[in-house]
Amino acid sequence: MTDDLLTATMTVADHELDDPAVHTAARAVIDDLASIPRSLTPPRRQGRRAVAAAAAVVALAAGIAGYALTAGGSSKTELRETAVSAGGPGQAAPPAPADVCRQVTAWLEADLAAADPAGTDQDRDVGRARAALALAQLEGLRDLALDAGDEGLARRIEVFMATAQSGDRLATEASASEGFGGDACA
Amino acid sequence: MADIYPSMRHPHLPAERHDRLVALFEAHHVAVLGYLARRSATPEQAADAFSDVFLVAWRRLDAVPAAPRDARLWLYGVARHTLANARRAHRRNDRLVARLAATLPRSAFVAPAVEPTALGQVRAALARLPDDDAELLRLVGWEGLGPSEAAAVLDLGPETTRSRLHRARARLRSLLDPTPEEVR
Repeated sequence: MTDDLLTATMTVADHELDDPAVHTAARAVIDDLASIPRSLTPPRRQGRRAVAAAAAVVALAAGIAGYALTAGGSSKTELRETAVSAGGPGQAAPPAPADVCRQVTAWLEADLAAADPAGTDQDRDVGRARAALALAQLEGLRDLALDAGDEGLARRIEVFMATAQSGDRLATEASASEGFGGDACA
Repeated sequence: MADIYPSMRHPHLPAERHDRLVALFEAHHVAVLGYLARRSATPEQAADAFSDVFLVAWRRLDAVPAAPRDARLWLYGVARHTLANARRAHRRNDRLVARLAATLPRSAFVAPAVEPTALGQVRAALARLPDDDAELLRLVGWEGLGPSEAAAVLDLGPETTRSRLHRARARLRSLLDPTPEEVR
């Protein structure tokens, strides 16, 4: 009786989704996933760390944004304006892989592991501010890639960001090397 | 298996892994989509979660059980965690995911403006149960799983699941048909 009532509350049955259009679209998603190098996917077990690290970065970014923006980096808006300017009115230029690579390097230098136990509170805040800046810049690069229609690059940047936020330095270095060309920043 | 999607072959994905991923997809994508669609507020959320579930499956392909039934339960477990995390996740600006969302029957995600009173009461009662109990009842009622199969999805012991299922059913019944004391 109870199970019958529960079954009746189903909004959609499996057989309703067994449709050629759904199959084709779902298959395209799987096709796309398989094009991402395995080392670029964030380890599932690090999900909690990633969420905690990202939350810390966002919270700190709100408070230290002033420092971050005067620390030598470009804001997301500036990045976009520069790219639009380079590509002409209304034309966003895709980020060059070298730009992404440099940003990856900046991220690694900032590193969420800036929470060095031996460092001072101020050191940690500076490190986190730099990490927040790197995150914002990566988001800007991702948006530029999307605007330019380079979804492949945008997706690689997203996957890299997720990997970096996990705080796994080795995985991040592997991600940067495999996804963005290693030393090809020049 | 005929490879009708040769572009799926990628240098980073050995042929054996590729074939396994395709087989997993072909065998279970409808069930996984169904699971997600029944628990998602929008087609976009279901499509995004679908992508995440198979991303986990691809990355952890070696951990996916070989037996088809066990593999499906494993995927349900991943789907459950994926939905739990969905509120925290950024929705991907992904053309392919958007295209999948567009193919899903939108009507399935929108509660009818007027629905039979009994169904509305069941939904309201389910919402009042603890999340794990409600999910256990849904796995049995919606996915048609037995207690031991639901136990695998929820990562619980079979006996624990049976007793929890018994209590959840009793609690749901009492919510649907409260005694005078409970009404007061």
